[in-house]
Amino acid sequence: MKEITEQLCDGVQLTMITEPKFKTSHIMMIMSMPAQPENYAKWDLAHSILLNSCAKYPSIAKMSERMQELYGASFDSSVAVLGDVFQMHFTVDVIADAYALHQENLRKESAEMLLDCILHPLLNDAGNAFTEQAFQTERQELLDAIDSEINNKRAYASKKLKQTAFAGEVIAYPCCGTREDALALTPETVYQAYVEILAKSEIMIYYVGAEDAPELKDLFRNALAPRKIADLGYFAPSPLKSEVKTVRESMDVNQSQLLMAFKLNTEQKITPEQLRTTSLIFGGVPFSLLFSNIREKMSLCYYCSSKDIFLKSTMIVSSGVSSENLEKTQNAVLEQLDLLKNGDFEDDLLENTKRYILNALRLSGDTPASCMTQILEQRIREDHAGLEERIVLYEQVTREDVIRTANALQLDSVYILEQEDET
Amino acid sequence: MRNSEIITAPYGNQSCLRVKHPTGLNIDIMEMPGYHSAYALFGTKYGSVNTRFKLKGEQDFAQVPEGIAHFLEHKLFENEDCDAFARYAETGAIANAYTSFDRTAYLFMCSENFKPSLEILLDFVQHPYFTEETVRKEQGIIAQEIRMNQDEPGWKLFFNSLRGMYFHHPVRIDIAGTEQSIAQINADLLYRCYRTFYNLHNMTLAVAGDVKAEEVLEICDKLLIPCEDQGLEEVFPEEPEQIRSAEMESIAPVGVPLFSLDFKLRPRKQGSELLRAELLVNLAMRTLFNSSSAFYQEMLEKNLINFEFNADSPFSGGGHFSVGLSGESRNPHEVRERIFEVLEHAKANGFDRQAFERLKKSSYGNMISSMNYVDSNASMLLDSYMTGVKPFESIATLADLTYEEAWDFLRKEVSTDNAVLSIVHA
Repeated sequence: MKEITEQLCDGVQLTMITEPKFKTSHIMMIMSMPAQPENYAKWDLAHSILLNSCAKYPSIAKMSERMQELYGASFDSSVAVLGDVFQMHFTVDVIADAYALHQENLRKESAEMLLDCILHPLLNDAGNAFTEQAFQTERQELLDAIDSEINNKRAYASKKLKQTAFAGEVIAYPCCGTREDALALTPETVYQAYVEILAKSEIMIYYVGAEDAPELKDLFRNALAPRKIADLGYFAPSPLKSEVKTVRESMDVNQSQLLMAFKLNTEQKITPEQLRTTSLIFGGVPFSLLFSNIREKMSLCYYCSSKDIFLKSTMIVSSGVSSENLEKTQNAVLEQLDLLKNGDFEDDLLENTKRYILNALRLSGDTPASCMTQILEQRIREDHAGLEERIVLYEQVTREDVIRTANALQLDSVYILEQEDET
Repeated sequence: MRNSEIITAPYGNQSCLRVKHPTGLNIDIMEMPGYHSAYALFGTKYGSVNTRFKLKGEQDFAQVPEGIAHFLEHKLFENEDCDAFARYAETGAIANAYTSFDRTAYLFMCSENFKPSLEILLDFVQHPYFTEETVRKEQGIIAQEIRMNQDEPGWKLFFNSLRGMYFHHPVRIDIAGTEQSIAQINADLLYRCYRTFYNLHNMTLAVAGDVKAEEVLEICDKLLIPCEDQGLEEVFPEEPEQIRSAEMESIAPVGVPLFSLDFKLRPRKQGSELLRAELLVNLAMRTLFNSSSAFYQEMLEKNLINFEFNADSPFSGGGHFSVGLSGESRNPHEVRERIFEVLEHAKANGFDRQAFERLKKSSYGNMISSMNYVDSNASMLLDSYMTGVKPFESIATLADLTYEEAWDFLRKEVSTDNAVLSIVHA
């Protein structure tokens, strides 16, 4: 595997990873800006409009035709808030040129299509707004997506917990905005917000493919202007509440959802590796405390797991249980955390968890997406630790680190989605 | 001398070794140079639909409670001393299992310690240990899994559709069974089903990635326990050609109503004929209804569908075969009427030949892309054994399909009389 990173101009960086074993070319472009909740809905709508049309392919039908001509290339976009940063992602994935049946230059054509979409969108005649039709279609799509959040109960509950735990922080606001935000938009305001993010955001471009791609460097350098970028604060620890906040909601469901957010006491310096290891020991592996005790021994649930959000210094526990077992499960989670705090766990649990993590890290060079994620994480964590350095950092996590981390974790918020009382 | 064959993909520069092991087990191995990970699946042709069966020499067919294949999958991870997850913990492998309608598979993925991980896999799947106490304990866990699925509107939509299409076929039953049916499961029943279906003549091992075929085979030679082919016979109830109900409706907390429109098709014996039929109907339906079609554009502009609309992959297995479309709509009945019109017009007049060729090219690209991944290659190997085709047969068959054949299939096999509209709304 060969990796080259180059600054194409101020604020625009290209990383190219050549790995002959892959049969595809992946290109990802990420635009990053300081998060501004008042613009989330505009940015969300803009990325959807760009995904489904551009001046050259002015409808979803034309865009789809083009993707099919490129041997079923996939073109995708998404938005996310990481710490205090808003990101807009565009990804194109196409088979490597070597597998084209008629010697097409698929990699270059796909990159050009990506640039067509982000630089030459379909605009109204005045050239100052997205077209009314594209705007209306995508806004309806956004409204439907907001209305349908309720369909996935786990994701819905997770969103509600984050709103409670991170109230007042930019990550608590839905990254696609709210229904009210969407209804207040116009084709003009959405386009202006996009023009701003295109001009001012930091742009990181990643290529992972079987062959060297020298043409991409010129293509992106000529297309993207230098920019002065704002400081991006990915690491944004969330303050611990003085009292645990519990929110309960009821719905016509068969299973209740229990979510708990624990935050790190900021007096303690805890590394990402220490928090990740502690969270996995607690509830992230199939031999964790939560899995072994709450699921296997107590038979309370099908899943009870934990995961960390390091950028917010937080660990989240989630479980699906019967209403009558909500309190019992919540108490059991706290008891298991006490065991960890008291160091009441086997050495093997730590060693096996570290082995699990190292195994997973070493798998990451085997897919184009995980190759990109590794590099992106270096940027976000700002420690520039490569894979081997990251492995060493995990190897150095000790039993004392886990106990210290567990003791630094304090319950901050609880969200319960419970079965409606039928009486 | 092994009974083995090297099978090479006609496109994509990939090959695998298929071995018929003396114990009766089918073994498929794909070495993937340059990769750091390996993925292994040990699977049996035993899923939720296999509820009636008998062995050679037995007089009557046995009927077992719904959800027992899935229950068995959960319990097999435990043996007398410790569970399989605890053993995998010592190798670092990421392990799991799944049960579907027609199969159960146990799997792991690792970047090191492949050999000890494979030994664990082959060992625990061949050594069941069930007690009444451990069975009772599992009933609470699986009851929560069933309830979790019941809160998935997509799951509800799918099973309602199957219940609309099929009168008797057990595909209409939830894979995990019901809280009532799993309460009937006991250790004796689990042992009986285990001995019937976890026979190496009914099983396959699929391995892909950073592995050496000889190393895999050495471990197999050491750990596989020879067994007799028991002459397993299964029956599925007689199923009429027509559907049971043209509309199925359910209420759940959802935003925009969900719908699917599924067409019941003539079932085929698993193998090359079914694979060809699946590829043909998939291409034909995608040509008519995918996001580049005139239908999609029109429905979107009229706000009758949104981007959730999709021409789904065909769904098939022993004694059942269907294809469908699904999405979200505030007026699913109008969408159905328009789909019927487009379908009837296409059957009478043909459809866009260029679009058909584009989608064929697109399918080729998707098949090549999937060869990038260790897990999808191992899954393809498992799937090929389970469905009675050779590895890479899909991409070879795809190359051979014609527009005329797809049109013919549409005309003769896809009928609006056999369509079930399933709706989940608030």
